[in-house]
Amino acid sequence: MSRFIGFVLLAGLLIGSMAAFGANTPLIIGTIDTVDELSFANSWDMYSWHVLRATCDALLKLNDDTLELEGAIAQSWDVSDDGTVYTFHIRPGIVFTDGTVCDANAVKFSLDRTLRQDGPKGAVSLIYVIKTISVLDNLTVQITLKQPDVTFLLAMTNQIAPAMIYSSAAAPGDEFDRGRYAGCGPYKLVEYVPDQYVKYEANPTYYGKQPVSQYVVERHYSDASALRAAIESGEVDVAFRTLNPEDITDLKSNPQVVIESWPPSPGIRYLAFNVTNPPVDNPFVRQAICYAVDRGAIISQVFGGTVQPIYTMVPNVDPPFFGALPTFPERDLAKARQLLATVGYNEQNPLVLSLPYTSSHYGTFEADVATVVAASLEETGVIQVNIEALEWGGYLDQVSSGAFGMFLFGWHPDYLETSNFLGPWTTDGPESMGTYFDYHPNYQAYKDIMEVARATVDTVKRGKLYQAIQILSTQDVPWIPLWSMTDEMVTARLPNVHGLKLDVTMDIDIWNIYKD
Amino acid sequence: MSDTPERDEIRRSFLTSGVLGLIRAIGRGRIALHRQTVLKVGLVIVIAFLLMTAVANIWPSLNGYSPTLYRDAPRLEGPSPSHWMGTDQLQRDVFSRILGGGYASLIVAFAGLALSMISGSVLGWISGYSGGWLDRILSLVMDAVYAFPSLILAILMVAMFGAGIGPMIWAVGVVYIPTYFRVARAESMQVRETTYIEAIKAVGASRTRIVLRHVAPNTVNAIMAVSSFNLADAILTVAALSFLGFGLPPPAPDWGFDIQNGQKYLQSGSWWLITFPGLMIITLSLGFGLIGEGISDLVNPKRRRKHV
Amino acid sequence: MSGLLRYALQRLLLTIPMIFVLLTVIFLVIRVIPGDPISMVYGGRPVSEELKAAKRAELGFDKPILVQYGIYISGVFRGDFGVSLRTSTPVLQELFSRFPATIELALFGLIVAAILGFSTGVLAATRADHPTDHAVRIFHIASFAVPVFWLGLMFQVFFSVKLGWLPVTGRLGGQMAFSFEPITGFYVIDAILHWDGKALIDVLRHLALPALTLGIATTGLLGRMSRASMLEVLDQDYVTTARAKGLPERTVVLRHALRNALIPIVTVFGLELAVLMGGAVLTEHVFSWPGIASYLIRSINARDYTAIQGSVVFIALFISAINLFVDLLYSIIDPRVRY
Repeated sequence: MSRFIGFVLLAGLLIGSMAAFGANTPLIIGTIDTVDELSFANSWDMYSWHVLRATCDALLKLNDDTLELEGAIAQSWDVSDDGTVYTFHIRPGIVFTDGTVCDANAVKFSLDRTLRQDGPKGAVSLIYVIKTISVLDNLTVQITLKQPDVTFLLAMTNQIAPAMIYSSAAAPGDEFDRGRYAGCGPYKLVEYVPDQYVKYEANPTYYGKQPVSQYVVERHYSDASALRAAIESGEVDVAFRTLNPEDITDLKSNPQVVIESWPPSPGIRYLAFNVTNPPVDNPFVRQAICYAVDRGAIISQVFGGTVQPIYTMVPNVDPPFFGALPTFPERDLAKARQLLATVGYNEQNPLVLSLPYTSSHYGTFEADVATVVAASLEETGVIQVNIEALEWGGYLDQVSSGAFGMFLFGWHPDYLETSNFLGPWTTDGPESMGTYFDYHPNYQAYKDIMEVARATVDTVKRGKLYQAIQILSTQDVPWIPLWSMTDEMVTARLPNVHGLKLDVTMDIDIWNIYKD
Repeated sequence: MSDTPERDEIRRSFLTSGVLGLIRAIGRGRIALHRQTVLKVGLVIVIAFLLMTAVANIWPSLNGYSPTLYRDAPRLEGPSPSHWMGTDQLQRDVFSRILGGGYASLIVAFAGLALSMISGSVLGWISGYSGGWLDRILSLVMDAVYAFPSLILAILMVAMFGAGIGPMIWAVGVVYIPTYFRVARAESMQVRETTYIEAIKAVGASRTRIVLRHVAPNTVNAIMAVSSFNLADAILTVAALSFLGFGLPPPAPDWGFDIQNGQKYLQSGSWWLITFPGLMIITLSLGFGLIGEGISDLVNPKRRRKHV
Repeated sequence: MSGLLRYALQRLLLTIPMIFVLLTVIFLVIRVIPGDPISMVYGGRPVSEELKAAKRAELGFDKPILVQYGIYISGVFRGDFGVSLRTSTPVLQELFSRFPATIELALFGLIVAAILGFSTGVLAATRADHPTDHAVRIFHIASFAVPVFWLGLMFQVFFSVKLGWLPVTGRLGGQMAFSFEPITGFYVIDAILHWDGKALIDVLRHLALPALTLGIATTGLLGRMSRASMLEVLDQDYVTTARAKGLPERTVVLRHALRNALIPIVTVFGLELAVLMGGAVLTEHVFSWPGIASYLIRSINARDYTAIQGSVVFIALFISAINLFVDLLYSIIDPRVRY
């Protein structure tokens, strides 16, 4: 009898708790990305910025659909004739989630503070071009640049964390924010637990269109297998970044899960060289490697065909970046052997290289990538490769100290402009990026071309200059572009989820996603 | 302290108590040489694995496929007559990787064992024989390390030293030192009390000489017996380290690493990638365990209780 | 009682130097080995040498090793474990938020191991030298020989992927994670406190595979201990007397032997816990269990020195505490221990 009562109680409980659920169930998004630091001045990773983007706005943004530049906090803007003074007219009536008003003073405060803090892990350098910010009146702010910069408006969008505007009342003193901020984005941050989840609730005072889903949770999974299990069991409504290629193929046959691919990807992977480190200080050696490496094998074996080969550092996207020019050659083992022979390497005297990779940053396939790259070089019969595994911290140490001759690296763009794919390794910070390219005889040429390009408003001319750099790089081979990370451009969702879209910004707009 | 003798016995754990029995049994010439099936099975397994690994390292393509060459087989196919254990994502034959995959485990287990056995025993002899403050301090340190999870300590050491065979040997070597220390110390304390050591002392032999010539040899049997159980454990530690990515760099075949690799293909149905390396680890570890069990049985008849 | 109190104090005093030794070992392993702890603070961004030097000074890495040691020890005793280099949150706070997950897993693993180990151990002892005995003993050795991570993966393949009975990873289902409000952090207890049957079922379903994995992989020690202890007891005079009185074997075993055989088993709990914590590292890793051990692995991969040090120290303190507790427990249940 008592057992029966227990059963009834339990059943009652079950029904009761299910009824309590019902309406307003949160939209749950699963990912294996992690937050580095929720800070405007001290974070530089895609996912931290994704969270900031959902909860904050900047002066400008890219249109969700067309990706055209449009007003956000600023309704409109004017540019002076010499391209150094920008005047922004702020939309009236915006309030931050802590209740304070977002006006010209708030804009000045945020940008000044971010520039001043300039966190060592952050991307404040992307807005270094700002000289002064002045408040003209309550709703007008004027930004003066150090020199004309064609990419400045792009750097003022909510694609860039340092450009974001936040409440002065909620910002901690001189510390980095670490999640303590109040923005005026479509959502407000309810809770963030490292390695576990981020919870959002729609911001009722948002000036734009209200988000479709009132509550959103982003759950952080430790690996792609866990993420797959989560979407398959319906534990999450959306799985975004990154599913294993084999799992994607597998899930396509599952009617309960909708797999969508959103190519192409602006994220690239490549081999980089320290041009001062023997034996790869010899350009013929680098050219030979460039002929020997087997992109096809990486793509078909490691990634099951889910990624695309690239032949220049500027990824091939649609609409294309102006000036993209696929200049690198296809695989040619005979050519590679011939080049190596000219510098004295043959079967008796093989070229010995070491190939480090990091096991803890680029996902679980990195060991396979290194294996295939090494094996494809060894197929020349003239090269011997020793693979070496390091965790990410140690890897970076070695890269920036110049210890590696050849190493695997990756790049996600900060802003969608060609210079962001060419500058960093050649002209901006060659030493810290590990290439030591500033010791290269042609360094000055690259630097000059890049400087001219950045000040050139005419996109056709600018494109030509970018092309010049790409052509030069095929001769000097400071890098070998390998593949674009199209595997990151795959989403999985349950059939009742709508509004999911992934574009070249590589981010989903969570405010447009909802479920029935 | 205040412990009862029984409790003290238990605290030395079942391994050591078995070993103590071994010594006493040898001392009284009571070795019973029957029922050695367990020992035999264990020996056969271990010898077979040693042979297999040695041969596979001399001729890597033993079964006609290369364990390291990519594109040597179809991609991700299950076991078939031509590929007994299937193929992996880089189009390699899993069986050929299984054959040579124990290399790191065996090298690290044996080298690490030698390291911990030598340093642990020497410290144990000194500590047990000399007694006093040195003994107290050493025992305290060893007990503290012993209480700490050895796997976590090993992971920590390998993470700090870097991946590869060398660091793994150090890690495995260090974490097992306390085990040998405890055995050697307990034994040398017993030996110290015997009349024949008293006699040697009376003759005026130096302490070093006593420890090396008279104490040490009397504890060797005990130490050797612990080592087979220890090897079983070390195989698992090495596998865990490789699984976590601190082992051999690719493309060298390695069971632990191959399991980590196969994990990615688990849900899409490629069960053979993790099943076979796992079975190899179990069998090898079991082999060492059986040897340990067999030795204990052999020399400690109390463990084999007669029918009532 | 005062005797017990004195004994407790004595054990406590002995535990303190032990903790010191552990702390020192951990410090040495982490600090003395070359490598720059600073690089990770900047997440791989190019940073000037001055900035690195400033950060090094801020974290105290520029001081002589002995001073660093002093700061570290005093920090530990003040409960200051530093701030994680990776997540910028206080390490102790992260550890406390993950601790219940690890304890819950270890506890349920221990229950599995105890039930399995004790029952098979006693069974083997009462049937010594029979085929059952051999089978059980082989099971015990095999449980030593199985890699925990492999067992976990195989369970995932079978129970989650093939049969679809249980979730693959995590502590809570997706919808549940949003509605479930932890109170103590022990989700089983929380679900009961909330009187939420659905949550309880969800929690237990997630707990089942990790606990089973950890439990089975650590059964061997308890099983062998139980068998040995039972054999010992069955040889005692009072058992022989009971048999001589003509009592059925069943009664002899259950009434007379079992209780006394249990006592020595308590002592291996401390050791068992060390084994469990080691196993928990791999179990948590395989099942994405948000506990201390998986935090340690993540921290190692991110080279987060303060977090690595903090979690290892935490584990060390925890194990010392448990060992102390087991000692006291033993002295209470075993009347033969003299204070």
